[in-house]
Amino acid sequence: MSVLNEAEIKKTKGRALHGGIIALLLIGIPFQLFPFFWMVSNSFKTSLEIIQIPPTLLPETWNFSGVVDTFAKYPLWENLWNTIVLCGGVILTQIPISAMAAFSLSKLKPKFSKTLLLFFLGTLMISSQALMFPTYIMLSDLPIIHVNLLNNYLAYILPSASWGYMIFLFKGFFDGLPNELMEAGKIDGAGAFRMFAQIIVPLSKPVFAVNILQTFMAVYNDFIMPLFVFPSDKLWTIMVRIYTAQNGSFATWNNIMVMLTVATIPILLLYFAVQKQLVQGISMTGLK
Amino acid sequence: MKTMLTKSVCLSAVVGVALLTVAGCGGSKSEPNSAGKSSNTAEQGGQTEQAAKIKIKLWEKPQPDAPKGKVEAYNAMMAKVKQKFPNIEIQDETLKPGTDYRQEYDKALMANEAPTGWRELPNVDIPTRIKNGTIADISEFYNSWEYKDQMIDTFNESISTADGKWYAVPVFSGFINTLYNAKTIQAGGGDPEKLPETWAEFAEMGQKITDVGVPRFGYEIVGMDWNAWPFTAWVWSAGGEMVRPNDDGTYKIAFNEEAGVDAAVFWNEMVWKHQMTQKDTLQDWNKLQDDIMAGRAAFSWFDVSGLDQTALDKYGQQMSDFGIMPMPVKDKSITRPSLAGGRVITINPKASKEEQKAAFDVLTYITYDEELLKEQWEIAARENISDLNVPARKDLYELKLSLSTTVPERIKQELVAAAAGAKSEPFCPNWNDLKNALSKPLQQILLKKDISRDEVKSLLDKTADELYAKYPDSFRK
Amino acid sequence: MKLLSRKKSGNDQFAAWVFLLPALLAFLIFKYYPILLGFFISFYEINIVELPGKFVGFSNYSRAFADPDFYAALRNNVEFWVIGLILNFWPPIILALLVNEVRKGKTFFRMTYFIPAVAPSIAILVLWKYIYSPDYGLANAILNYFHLPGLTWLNDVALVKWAMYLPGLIISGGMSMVIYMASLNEVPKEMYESAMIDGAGVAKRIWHITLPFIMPIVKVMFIMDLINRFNEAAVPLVYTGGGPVGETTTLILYALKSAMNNLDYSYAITLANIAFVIIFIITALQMKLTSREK
Repeated sequence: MSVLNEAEIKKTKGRALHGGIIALLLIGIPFQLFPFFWMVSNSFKTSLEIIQIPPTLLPETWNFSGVVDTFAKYPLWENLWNTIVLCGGVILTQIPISAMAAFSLSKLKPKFSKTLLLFFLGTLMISSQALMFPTYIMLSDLPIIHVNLLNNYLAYILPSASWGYMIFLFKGFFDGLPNELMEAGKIDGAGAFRMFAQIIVPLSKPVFAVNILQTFMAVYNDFIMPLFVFPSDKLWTIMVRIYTAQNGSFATWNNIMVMLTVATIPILLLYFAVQKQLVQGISMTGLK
Repeated sequence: MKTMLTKSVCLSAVVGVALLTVAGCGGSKSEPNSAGKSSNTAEQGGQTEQAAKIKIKLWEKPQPDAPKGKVEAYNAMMAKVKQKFPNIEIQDETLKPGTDYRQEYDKALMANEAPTGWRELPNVDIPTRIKNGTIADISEFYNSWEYKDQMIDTFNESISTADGKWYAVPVFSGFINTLYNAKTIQAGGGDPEKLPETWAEFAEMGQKITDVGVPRFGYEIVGMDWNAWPFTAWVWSAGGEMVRPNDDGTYKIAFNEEAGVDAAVFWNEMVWKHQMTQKDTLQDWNKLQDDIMAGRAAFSWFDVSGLDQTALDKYGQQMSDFGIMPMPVKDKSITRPSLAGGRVITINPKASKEEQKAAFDVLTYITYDEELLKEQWEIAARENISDLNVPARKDLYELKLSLSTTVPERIKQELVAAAAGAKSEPFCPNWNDLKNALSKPLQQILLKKDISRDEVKSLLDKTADELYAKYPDSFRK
Repeated sequence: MKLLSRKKSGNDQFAAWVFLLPALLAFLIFKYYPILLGFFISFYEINIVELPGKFVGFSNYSRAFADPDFYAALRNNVEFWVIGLILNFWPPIILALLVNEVRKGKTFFRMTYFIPAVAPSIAILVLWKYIYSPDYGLANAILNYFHLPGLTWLNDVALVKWAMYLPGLIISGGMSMVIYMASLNEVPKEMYESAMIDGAGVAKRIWHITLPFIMPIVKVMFIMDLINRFNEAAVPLVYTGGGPVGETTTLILYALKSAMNNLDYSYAITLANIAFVIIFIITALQMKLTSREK
């Protein structure tokens, strides 16, 4: 609940404070939105105007051909599709196995559960960059089956299926669910799986929404790992395309700005869609 | 009867099938790359009786966003290759853009994904790679090669060993010195007909031209990670050397001698005393390129062969405004240098002998065949693609120059004139490590406003000592 | 058929392990195997053509501990961590407090302050690099407007780290803010009511009630922040490439650069392993301290 209660707000001192807060927040808004404005505005400028000194806020001449040209030069639809496949693939693997593992640790209480928790969470401490190189070596020649997974969607999806943070989030929520639920389920004769599927999951919809959004954002923004495991550009995601483009190719500033804007749209849409579930879901994850 | 176990099995099956479908839709096939697995090919050798297709992998394909002229040239080249070598099947891929192409090669080599042959390695890398075995010994191909007497000989020493073993052959050679923009010089009140020859003249003109309000910079200085690369040319222009060979195959460090210190001090003075550079001395390569191509720099360190009208069009500039001149020198007694280097053809050491020969044949054909080269140059002229490098066939340089209609006459003449003072970039082993070691001290020198000559000398001395300690097999006092 | 007829605990254990199995496999294969491989490789000097190469024991590690650049990178990590705490750790908390007080339009403010988290991180970095450009950036333009001399910002050895974290002070919303808001929402009204009856003003209420209540989540965020700071490499890579003069080269960035520039792969892995161990120790200490408090 808010620190100030209803009665205070109505008094002059409370009202002044409240008004001051709103004013402060309003002033901050342009700063928050500026990067988006900058990307969109630059998408319609010519490259020359983008690097002009002093920089202009709105395009002096609105140039729509840049957008068309960018789509013609780069396989952006393909890149967006790859991004969706990767996000979907990771969500389909990471979320279920994390939820199941968290459910087990939280409600089914196997032996060594403390060690197991450390087993999962300990991996958070190692930098993903550090793991990239050995993972790359391993993927080029998987042990036992001797298959080269590079340049295959699985090369990204499988390693990403293991994210300790996700298990942590799910466990936090499940810990908050009362044990009576489990007791009731057992009396009804439900096995663990039925309890999971028919009781726990429906209750956790907002939590799933939040976690899916977090995973989506993590995969979406990742450009270093896909670059590592996809030497060929057929499987590149939109972020990888942007990073390599601005790293020296035939891309103009205008191309890069258009790509940035295009890259922002899907994630904005997703955010607006799950917006409502977001706060509810977070408070339910029991991060408190 | 649905037990929990059955349900989990069902779920795993569904997920598994989904994953396999996804895997199936994945880009390239996931079969092992034949280019790298020499042992596999040897095992399969017995099975293939007929004139089997030899499979090789290359990294020649242009970027997907390359201008259409480059794509056309590439297609024409591959068509000719297919005609000449019907028995060789080529799997060609695009290497992602970026300056870490050497690391990409090593990475690929470790995973058996490297191309069978490649044309991107700079000649200065070769001695180090001879040592660490990442390129193949191609002596036997070289010795029976038809063009071996027609290749440019500027870097023979770096691509072969003392006992006559060959590891690479040239693709092209080029040099960098000082690029100038006549229009910018004029706008700043200078005279493009009277270009500076000495450091004193250079500083005078640079200072006059610089106007931060425009912005217009006299000299676009390179302070980022690669600063040791232009610094080499500046040390030469001070009359010094970066390294000097000893009798035993090692090298003595020379950049901390008086000439090297002169060059470093002059760098600092350009920024602080003469105030003729951009303020962001450490700015990254892309921004440097932006400044140069947009005409904000009167003089800069840039490879003129990287300039073409299609690139300049985006900045609204004209190729005819640019020109090149050798480095300004400390005093007139020193020959004005240019830094020469080039790329070479190298072969994958992990490939089988047949694959290696196939790659050698294909790549040398692309690089040395007169008919193919002529067609390439004609396409380049038609499509406005500039390519000013000296080709590997030394007898064809004039032909190339005559065919390239897009390059202004003046630049062609300047190229020929500067070639006289072109000096090869040092290629001692661990040369790249030397450059990396200089990166931070040079940045310190550039950034500190009131740095004394002694401080500069001690920074350079310290770097030299570090190199002696770290690489005793390459550097010895 | 009722599974309950079997021993309850035994059946539960079985179910527990079946649920754990996919995660266990995934972590073993895709996290622990590479970690072990990484440690294994660090005892060799990598031969690119013939992996793994020459066995050299601990010499990569002793090289690291004798390397002044290693200690410089470590120092950078610590400085980043402290500066990050000063500039970036508390703004989301303050922001959450502020937005939480708003009556009408709370959702609107929460949405607009979360949105920067959605923008591609590359976009934000490129934008700020541009703003900080000493030649034509907005930052110096503002200083010049007030007749102050321009600074070199990202090229200034003393200033660069502060400059890198300044954007986080301004654009401080995002996921953290929303997480804090959710936690603030949970503070029971009664606690504030009773404090008000005791005559506690706004400041006192925040200090004695709000902050202690959200302390657990603050602690978790603190540890996550610590881990992220010590693993930081991508941000300095794009911002400054590790310069000027190596001031922004963190441990992991040093590892990346060893691999990228010097083709020194064994050393790169060694550095990454050391970073891992350091974080592990710090986190373990941290957790010991907090559990002792309880």
